Amino acid sequence: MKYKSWNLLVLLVIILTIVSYLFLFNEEKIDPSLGSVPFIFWTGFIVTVVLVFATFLGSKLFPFEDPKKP
Amino acid sequence: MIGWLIFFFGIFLAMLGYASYRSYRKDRTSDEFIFAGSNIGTILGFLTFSAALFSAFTFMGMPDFFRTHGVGAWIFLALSDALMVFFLIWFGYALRKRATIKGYKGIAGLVKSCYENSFAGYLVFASAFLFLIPYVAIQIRGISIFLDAAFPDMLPYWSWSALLVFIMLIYSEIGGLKAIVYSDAIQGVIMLAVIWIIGLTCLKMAGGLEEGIAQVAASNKELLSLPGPKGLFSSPFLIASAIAIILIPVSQPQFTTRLVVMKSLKSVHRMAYSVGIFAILVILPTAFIGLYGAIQYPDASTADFLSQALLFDQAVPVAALAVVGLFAACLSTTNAQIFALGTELRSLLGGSDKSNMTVTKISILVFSMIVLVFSTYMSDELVLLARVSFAGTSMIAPLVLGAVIFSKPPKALIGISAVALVFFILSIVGVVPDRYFDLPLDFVMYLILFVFTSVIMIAHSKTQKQENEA
Repeated sequence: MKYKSWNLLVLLVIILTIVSYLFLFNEEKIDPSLGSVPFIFWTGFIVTVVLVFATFLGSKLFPFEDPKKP
Repeated sequence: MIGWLIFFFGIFLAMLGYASYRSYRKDRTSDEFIFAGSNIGTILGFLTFSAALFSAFTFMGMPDFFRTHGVGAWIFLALSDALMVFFLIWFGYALRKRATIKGYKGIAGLVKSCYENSFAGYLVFASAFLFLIPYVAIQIRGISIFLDAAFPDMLPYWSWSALLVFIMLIYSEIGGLKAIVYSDAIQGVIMLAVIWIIGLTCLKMAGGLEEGIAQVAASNKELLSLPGPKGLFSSPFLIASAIAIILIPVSQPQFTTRLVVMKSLKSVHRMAYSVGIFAILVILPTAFIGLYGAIQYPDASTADFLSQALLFDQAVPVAALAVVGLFAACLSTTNAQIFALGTELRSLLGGSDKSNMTVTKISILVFSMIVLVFSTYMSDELVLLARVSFAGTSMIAPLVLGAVIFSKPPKALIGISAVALVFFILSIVGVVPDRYFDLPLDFVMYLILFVFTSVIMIAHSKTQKQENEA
């Protein structure tokens, strides 16, 4: 189960990254802004937070044991 | 101002002194000196990793980057860092696994042992030496520009750099990696606190977020979108930057060593997401400082903008704290990198423990002197020089990844990394062009390296599978 969850998480992160760089972060795009914050900044911020949260999830779902036992 | 400076510096130096004292043991082995007993927990691990990662280039370069190139600076660094910490979850495991099987004295030594090829080890060391020396010099250059602009006639320009290197040498030679880890923890906390105080002050002086953005929109709207007013943040540039930053833990020895010497994989994983949170927290206030700079000092030079925004526009105690914070940020990255070079050299040596310890200490001194000389010749483009350093070291990533993934890695990866490294160096010195098909060289090279490395690794794993079945 852990292997499947980990693989799914890696796949989702790869998809999010590709979609963000290819389709989200377009040149000359300012709108839609969030409040006064321009599009590139708030979307970039949210993607960053999601990736850090994915890292947190990854730390829980990673299926392999520590190879370096004390 | 001088009184506050003496006060904060006094506290800072006393803490560094205490860290060195706590770390010193007369009868320690070179392993204890270099690897801090391989027992670094989550909190110290995350602070030392963060302090080594976020340096003067973050503290000074990023506000200037936001000011001159706009909001894309967030994607350039923060998003790339978030991808890097996710990658650490797997890479930390794979590296520790290989280090357990083969033994670890440094990444150059590990690569040499995995490939059973001395050239592979020297290639890793050469890449670290060639690109970390300029990177360390950038840090020292950065702090010197700032201090020289802030206190024009107080000390000769070079003496700020010399002071920094002198302090770093004292505590790293006394306390080894443990002292560096403790000092990184102190410096990381100072850096985070100072950057937020300054960031919030700048945001207030800009009239708040909404008013500040409205002013930027009126004066230079291009700062609010990609690729920025100077066209820097194109998609190929951002993608190549993300790849270079993701590969930092693979190809920069100060980070690989930190992953190996941590207490457990759990500590590494906790450290990874903590560094991600730290990245967001450190980079966000630099955007506020950049916003203020775009309004108040749009045409000022880097040094003038930084000395005004970080120093003269701040309350006196905050300005004094900023000087100490910058000094701390610079010191933590500098010591990590110079110490790592010493570690890498040692990992390639044979000989007794005592002689290795002596060689390591002398090499740290020699590397420091080289950096000191080099720092006087650097340009002021802190962030772009740092990026060249990240990209340069990442050229040997196929070699290191091969060593980490395979018990008997394919030797073709040595050739491909060597060619990539040489070609990248040739582009820096202007022998070959740095753009192809209107794309930056590093972007093109990453594409080529990705294809070749994947083909070599897939073919090798098939061959190994067949050999195992036979």
